[in-house]
Order: sequence, then structure tokens, then C-alpha cells
Amino acid sequence: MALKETPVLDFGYDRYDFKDPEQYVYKSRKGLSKQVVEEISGLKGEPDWMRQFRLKSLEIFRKKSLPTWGGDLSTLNFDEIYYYVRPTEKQRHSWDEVPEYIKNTFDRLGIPEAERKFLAGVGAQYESEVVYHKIRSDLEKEGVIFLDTDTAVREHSDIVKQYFGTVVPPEDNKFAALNSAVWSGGSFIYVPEGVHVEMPLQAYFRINAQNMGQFERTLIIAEPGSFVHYIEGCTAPVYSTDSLHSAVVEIIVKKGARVRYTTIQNWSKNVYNLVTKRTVAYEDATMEWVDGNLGSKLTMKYPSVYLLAPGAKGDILSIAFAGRDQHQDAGGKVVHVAPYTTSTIVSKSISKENGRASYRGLLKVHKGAVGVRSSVRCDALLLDETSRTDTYPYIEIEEEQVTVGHEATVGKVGDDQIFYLMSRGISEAEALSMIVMGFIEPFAKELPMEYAVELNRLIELEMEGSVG
Amino acid sequence: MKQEGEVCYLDEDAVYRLSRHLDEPEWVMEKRRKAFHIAESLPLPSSRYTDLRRLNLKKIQISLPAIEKSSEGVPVWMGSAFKENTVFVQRDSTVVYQHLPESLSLKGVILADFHTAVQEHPDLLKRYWMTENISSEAGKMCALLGAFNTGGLFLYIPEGIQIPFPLHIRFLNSTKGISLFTPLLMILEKGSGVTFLQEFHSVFGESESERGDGLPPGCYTQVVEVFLKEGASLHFASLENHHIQMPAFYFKKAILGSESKVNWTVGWMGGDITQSRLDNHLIGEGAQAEDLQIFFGAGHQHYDLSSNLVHKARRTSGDVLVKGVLRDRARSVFQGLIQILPEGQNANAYQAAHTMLLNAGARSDAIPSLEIQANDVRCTHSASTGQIDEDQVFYLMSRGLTENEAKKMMVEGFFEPAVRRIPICGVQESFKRLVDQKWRGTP
Amino acid sequence: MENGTDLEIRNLVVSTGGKQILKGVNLTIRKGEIHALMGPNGSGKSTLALTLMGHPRYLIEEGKIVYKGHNILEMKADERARMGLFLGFQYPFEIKGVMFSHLLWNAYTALKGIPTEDGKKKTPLSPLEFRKLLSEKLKLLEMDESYADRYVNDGFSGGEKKRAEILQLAVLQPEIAILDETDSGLDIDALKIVAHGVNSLSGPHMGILLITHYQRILRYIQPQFVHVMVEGKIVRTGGYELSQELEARGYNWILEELAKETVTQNT
Repeated sequence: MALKETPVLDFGYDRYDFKDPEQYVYKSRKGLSKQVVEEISGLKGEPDWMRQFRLKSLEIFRKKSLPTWGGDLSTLNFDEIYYYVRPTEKQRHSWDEVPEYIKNTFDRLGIPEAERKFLAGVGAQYESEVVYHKIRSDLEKEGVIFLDTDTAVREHSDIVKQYFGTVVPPEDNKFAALNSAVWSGGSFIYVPEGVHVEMPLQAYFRINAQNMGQFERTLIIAEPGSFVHYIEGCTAPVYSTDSLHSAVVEIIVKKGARVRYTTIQNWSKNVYNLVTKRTVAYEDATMEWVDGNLGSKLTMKYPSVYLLAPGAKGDILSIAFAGRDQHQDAGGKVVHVAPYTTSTIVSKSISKENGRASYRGLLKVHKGAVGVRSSVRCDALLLDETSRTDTYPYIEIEEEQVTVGHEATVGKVGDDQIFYLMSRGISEAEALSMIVMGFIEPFAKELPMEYAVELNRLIELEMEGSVG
Repeated sequence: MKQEGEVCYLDEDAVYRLSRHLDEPEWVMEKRRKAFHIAESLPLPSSRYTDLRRLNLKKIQISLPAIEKSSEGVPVWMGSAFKENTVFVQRDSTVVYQHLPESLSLKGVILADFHTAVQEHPDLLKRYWMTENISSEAGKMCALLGAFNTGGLFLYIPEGIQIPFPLHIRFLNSTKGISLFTPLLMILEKGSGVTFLQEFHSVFGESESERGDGLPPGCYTQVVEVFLKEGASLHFASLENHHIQMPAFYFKKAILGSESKVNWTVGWMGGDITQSRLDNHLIGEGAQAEDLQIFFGAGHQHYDLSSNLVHKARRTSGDVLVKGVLRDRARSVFQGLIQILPEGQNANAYQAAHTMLLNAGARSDAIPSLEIQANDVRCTHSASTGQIDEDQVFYLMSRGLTENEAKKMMVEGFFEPAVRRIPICGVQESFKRLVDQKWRGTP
Repeated sequence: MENGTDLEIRNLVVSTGGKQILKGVNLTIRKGEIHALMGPNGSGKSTLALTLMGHPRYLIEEGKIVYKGHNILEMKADERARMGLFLGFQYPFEIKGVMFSHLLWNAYTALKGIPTEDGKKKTPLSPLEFRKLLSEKLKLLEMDESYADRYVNDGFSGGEKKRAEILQLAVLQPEIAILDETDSGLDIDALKIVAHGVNSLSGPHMGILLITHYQRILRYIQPQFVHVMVEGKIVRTGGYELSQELEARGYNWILEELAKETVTQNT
């Protein structure tokens, strides 16, 4: 089959690749300093504890070194980045009030339409600030809080203060420290005991400016017996210089609650995407990470779950598509602290055109965590000779009464499968695309319909003309 | 001037003393000196899984070996039965028995201890022994071996020679408190083949000259370098049964030419902390490497095993299977890497590590990694750790077996598929015997 | 025009893996005809099937395959399918993650779709209508609805796979169908169902090449022509009675006759 020569193709990113002229009310100076951090805090009118938290984090950031593993960070220049850009004075709750050019952006991305159709709430972040936020009023009445994190700091200071920085402390890693110092925006979700939010809540993150750094901070608290599904999407226009996205996500899932967190990351190929996401799960709680990485120049992201009480469950489904010259260093981390906890990690990756997809995972079982069951499965598909895949599944077991397994396979698309589909009249390119879709089907299945359709479309774009 | 038996610590002075004692040419001393400096610059190979802080290198001693061969050191218990197929016995660093059939030596097969090889075959040693930066690449203990190696074995098989019977080698440790650094170099020319079997025995207390009563055993280090030329094939089996208090370090490396084949079988039974690394570099088209390792840890034994496959040529295949059972407070860690470079199209690589834990207190970790840069490959790995299945134990017991018998049967069953893959007859039996001994020997 | 719908195989010489399998095959199949190709194992029957469909592993050394007046040797499998060829595989491949309904919808669109201006194809049926069609065909083959949403051949038994091949035949309605050992692995009930399916699909609009090792299926699907292949060549051609003779006497008598012929030629 003529799969040997894969022509170089352009990534069909047109729909996301448009730029607005910069019309900002505030843009910080390039680079990071104590002054910049104080300005951010000042502009936000934050309580003193948060200001102190930021300054302390800045110190930690300076002391911490960059990770020596994972992707190549040598071209990331912290001095060339704008750490804070405020596009509007005020956040709106109706699309009509959002400044025209920003509204147009989100219209083109289909967000208001999606909100009408199938979402329980929407947040839209443009550069550093959330410009639009709305939750269905019935949920609001039930006590569900869905706000941008800045507003939450002001309006629900007691809850935020109790949990903020407890799951991902600034000391955790250099990028968590950076986020803690300059964070802005992100979502705050609080679901009261027993409340099930049946439709998903969504946040959409857009970077528009060049050399922009986006540092949203998301905090989700699911009280006992509650359920919520949160979806995030990310895009940016294509620039020749690099932008940085470095978020921190903290989730607390209490007894018997369930949280599902879905990401469809489609940053343009000049964005460093270095994100720390972590959950603590209590008795019989369930955390599900559904993490799709399609875009960015380099992604380093390993959503994690700490299973702190018996019966807690963590599932991580990670898919990475490393297109031309991209490096997706993704995976997952599960720490079994308590006995009788279970976890599964499924990773699927596709590499093509010099792309590199790495699975990096840690499965850790603490002493005393008896009766733990865990399985890790990684499958990689390589579409041409220049692509690369790695698997680094670290497993640390300190307890003997456990059952853990790890399996991985690497392969290319089978010629016989392609021929079989072609014998039914399907072109080679379509056949390849169908097989790739089939490969990631377990992931698409987990997405709400509209996202699955979008995902398929994105992959079709990536695959288009992959066959000579 | 009787220097024989004199004891040295691992310092630079000892390098000169050892080399002069062995009356080595300048280039050998230079090689030792270089290796020593590399060793100095490297840290102890501790990791998050293996703590070697107990190993105090400052207290490690070697002794200057006897140069004359003697047959007096063959322990009585070996009787004469051992002579069947046994071609070489080395007690500490001294050859005590050596017998290579004349038919082979006439064909140009060379079997000698390193000391002799340095004198008689300097060209081959210069060309092959620790040439690449093997000493720094493989860590401190390997570099120390470069500086302090004594005894050891050199095997050369000329083109086209197939040795029709297994070469059985035995290494005896008899002196407590003394550490050994044993080098092995094997060169298999085009189309040659051999089956090589090495066994280790700790025979403390049998020798008249035993010293250091009350001292713990020293540590044991072995470096094996294998060069397989086009179409050559090697079966290398090693049954490691060191004294239970002896730390042991191994580094084995094979460079495989086109259509060559290596088959490693390693049974890990003895030793205190054992750290082993086995690398197969498949540099010729169609080369094949198989690595089968089986361990049974008890007491406070600790096995730290790595196996790496580096596929640098087309149609190469690699197959790693590691199976182990742990009981008491024993621990194991397996680290495996399959690397397929862009030149490695059509490679097949498999890697599996499975461990069974018999009781609370044992622990096993596995890190099987892949780095794949060619697309037309088949590559899988799997790792699992589980406890012995209580339902199965119960089922066997309900048929009248005691718990101990039931568990033993399950351990044997767990090893069975791996043992069946051991390609050398006799070794399967030896391995089963060792498992049986170990099962009975530990409460 | 009649000629334009023939499948003509002329002096076809094919090798794979450096070994010559077909050594000059000649065969013509017209719409409305049913041909049976029989022969001992290893005679080259499956090679012929896969070659007709354009499997890249088979190298054509000599000869032609002409279909509807075009030499199709340069065409890939999908182009051949769009021209109206169909292959029911002896060993259908498994494709995890791809649902049958998904495969067939795409294939149906590719085969029956009406070209639009932007170079794409418009489907002649709405998804709902297509689903109805699929249901009908599933019923025809006495297959459960749920098969539509199972992954292609994934976890199917041998018999289920064969039935699923005929299901695809039924949905895609080709002009020439090559059925490679569709009967093997089927029990007698399944065989009847499959045969019934093939019979109800056949007719003046379809030509069939039925490749089989055994005569069994020919009791249910009656061919007008029977060919015997031995060592890469068609050595006998006859009517239905030839297959009956083969059932009664096996293949050996043909081999013996062939040996005699060779001797005669050589002397």
C-alpha cells in the first residue's frame, strides 16, 4: 500500500486561526517581576491572603528548576511573555453585552450556539480574564456555583480559601508555582450535597495576543453524592512566536460524588501547554479524566487522582495526536493511598510527520493500601516513518496485596485492514482515517455527541491527504 | 617476594600494585588506571528502588591473586563427576581446573583466564575489551571492574566453528571479606556457535587458607561482553547462587551482527542485593536476541534487574521475559527499555515482566519503557504484579495438598512457561532443583 | 455494450513472495452468470480472488484483467469496488473500533453516491432509509440487528464472519461478486441461510464467481459453469455435471489425466 510516502500537509486549523486586533484595557509589561504580580493582585482587588500567596509562589517559582525530563523547554523564554492581559473592564452574563469583537470570536467558535443547545452553563475566557459567565438559573437555585475563579475569591472567599492550593500546592512544580503567582481566570465550581448537574458545564479558553501567557486556575468541589461534568476547550491563533498556557486545576470529590472532567485541547502549534491537574477523591468517590490533546507545540500534562479513602475510583482516558513536529508528552498519574481503591488508565496515541507522542504515567500504591486493583493500557499508532512514540509507565508498589497490570502495544496501520476497506469502495485516505477513528473510538465514545463530532472533524482534518 | 593473597583497598595505589603483581604490559595498566578515574567520578548506582548506602566502598577489599594454576582448589564435593563437560573452574581469581578438548584448541578456539589472554592474545583484547565507553555507561561498579578485574574468562571461537557440547564454567568464592571483579569476554566469529553455562558457588569454610572468619562475604561484580559476528549464535545460561549475604553486580552486553542470535537465560537465586543490567544491541540486519530471566527472592533479598533492547537495524527481533516470585521481605524492581531507532524498520520487540508475591512484606516494581522511532514495527510490553491466588490455593488444598505444597505447586506452575523456554537441556532441571532447594531452605 | 460488462481474465500470471502462483489463467464472467471455481488446496484460487480485487501483495507478471472494457490492473481496490467488483473474503480481517454500520454507510455512499459539484458525493439514501435497508439485509441473513453496531468482524466466530461478508454483498449490490470459500466454516443451517441470501441477490444484474473446495454449497447455489484449477491453471471447464463428478470421484482422477496428458505431450 502506498503508505510509505506521506506528503507534508498543512494542518487544517483555519477555523481557529484568526486574530483580533488588540484592544485591551490593560496589558502588563513583558516578563515576570514582583511588581507585575502585585499589579495583577491590585487590579483584581484581592484579599491580602491571596496577594501573599502569589508573592510566596513567585519566590518558589524562582527557586524551582525546569523539569529535565519530558519535552524540550529550552526555547521557552519567561522574559518574553505577557503575564497579564485584561481585555474588558467587566464580566458579562449576556452575550449581547460582551464587546463585539470578542463576541464574534466566540460566535465563530460556536460557543453561544452550544450553550443554547446542550450546556448547563458556560464560561468564556479571553486572554487573562473571563469575559462571559452564565449558569442556568435552576441550577443556581439548587445552590450550584459556577463562576470565574476571580469572582469566587471575592464572593466566596471562605470556600475558596479553604481549598485553594491544597490539592496542588505551589511547591509542587515550577509551573504550578508560576500559575500560583500570576493566575487569572479559570472556573470555580461548587456542587452542593446530592445535586446532580445533568448537562455539562463548559469553559472555553482563547488566547488571542502574541507571546501571551494564559494562567487560568480552576477549582471544583463536589460535595457528597453530587455529580458534575465539566468540559474545557482551548484554541489560539497561529503566531510565529511562542505563547505559554500553564493552568492549575484542583478538584475535590467527596464521599460518593462523581466528577468528570473533559478536555479537548487544540492550541495552535506555537503554544507551550504545561498544565498541572489533580484530584483528591474520598470514600466511594469517582473521578474521571477524559483528556484529549490535539494541538500545541509541546504539551506536558498528566492528570492525576489521589485516592484517599476506601472505594474511591480513578479513571484516566488520555488521547494524544502528535501531528507535524508536535510533541505530546501526556499520560496520567494515580496514587492509591487507601485500601480497596481502583483505577484504570487507558492511553491512545497517534504520531505522524515527525510528531512524537509520549505516554508518561505513574501508578503508585502506598503501604497499607491492600486490595488495590489497577490496570494501565497504552496503545500507539505510528502513521509514517518519521513519527515516534514512547512509553514510560512508572509503577511503584509498596503494598503486596494488590493486582496491577500494564500493557502496551505499538504498531502501524495494517495493510490488510486498509485493503479490506478499500475493497468495499472506500478510498485509501478515507480507509486510513476510518482506522484512526476506530483506534480512538474509546475516547470519542466518552464525549458528548457534539464534541465527538468535533473531534472526528479535527482528526479528519489532520488526516486529510495523509496518503499519497 | 610473596605478594599473593595480599589485601588491598580500592585505591589508585592498588591499581598499580595489582597490575605490577600480574606483570601486565603498560597498556593494560593504563586501561585499569583510566577505568579507576571514571569510577571515581561516578556515584554509587543507588536509585529510588535500590538503596546501596550500606555498601561501603571504602571497606571493600580485593586480594592479589595467585598466578600459578593449581588443581588443589577443586572442592572435594565436586568429585570427578563435575568434569563431564566442565571446561573451567576458577576459585576466587585462580584457575583450578581447565580442560578444553584438543580438537577445539586445534581449530583455534581459545579459552583462557584474562591474565593469560592479556599475555597471549593482546591484539584481541585491545580490540574488544571495554573499548566503547562501557565503563562509564554502565556505572560505577562496572568501572571498578575495569580497574580491579582479576581471573575471569576469555573465549574466542573462530569462523564457522560450532562447539558441539555446552561449555560448563564454574566460579567458586571461597574467601570471606574479599570482593571479586570477574571479566568475561566472548568473541564469536562469523557462523560460529556455542552454548555457555556458568554456575557460581560460595564455598566458604572449606579452604585451609580461609581468612577473615566472621567477616561477611565481599561483593561480586561481573562484566560480560559478547561480540557476535554475522550468523553467529550463543546460548548463555547463568545460574546465580551466591551466598545470601553477598551483594552482586552484573553488566552484560551483546553486540549482534547480521543474522546472529543470542539467547540469555539467567536464574537468580542467591545474593543479597543483586543489581543486573543486560543490554542487547542489534546492529546487524535480522539479528535476534532473547532474554529470559527468572528470579526467586526470599528473606531480605533484593533484585534490581534491567534489560534493554536497542534495535538499530532492519528485521531485528528482541524478546524479553522476566518472571519472578518473592516471599518474606524480598523486593524486586524490573526496568526495561525497548528502543527502536529509525534504522530499525520491521523490528519485532516484546518485553514482559510478571511477578508473583507470596506474602505480605514482599514488594515488586516494574518500569517497562518504549522509545519507538520507526513505524513498521511490532512492539508490545506488559508487566503485572499480583499476589498468589487464594482461590487456587484453596482448590488445590481441597484436593488434599497442604498449603505449603499447594503454594509450591503454584510457584512451579508460574515458572513453568518460562522454564520450558530454557533452551539448554540440563539447565531446566538445575533450575527446578534450585527452586526446590530454595523453597525448602526458607521457612 | 454486452462485452463492456464482462470480467475477462486473460493469461494471468501472478506471483507473491517471489513464488509464482497463477500460471496463465483465462476466464470470462458475464452478468447473470454463476461460475464455480473448484480445486485442491493451494491451487491458487484465493490468489486469483485477491488479485482480482487488487491486493498489493500479489504481483502481476503477465496478462490482463479487463472489466467493462478497461484494463483494471492499475486500479486500486476501492476503484475496482466502485466499478462494481466485490470480494467476499475467505478470512475477513478484524478491525476494532470501526462499526459495521459505519463501514457500510461509507462504502454505500462511495459506491452509490451521486457526484456533486464540489467533487464529493451525495448519498442516494438518508441515514434513516439506509438503516432500514441494512435492517432488511440483516433479516435476510437472519442476523441480529445488533451486528450493525458491532466492530467489523471483531470477536466474530468463523461462521459469523462469513455471514457478515454476504451481508455486505447484499447491501452493496455489486455487478460481479467473487465469493472466496464463503461456505467454509459454516454449519449446514448457516450454509442454507447464506446460500439463500446469495440466491435472492443473484439474477441478471449480477455475475458470481463462487470459489469453493467442496461441492456442498453447489447443491444450494447452482452454477452454469464449473472450472477446476490445478497448480495455477484452469485445467477443466464444464457444466454443473462436472462438479457432481468431482464430488463422486475427488480431484485425483483429474490429476491423473493431467499427468497422462503431460506424458503424451512430451513424447
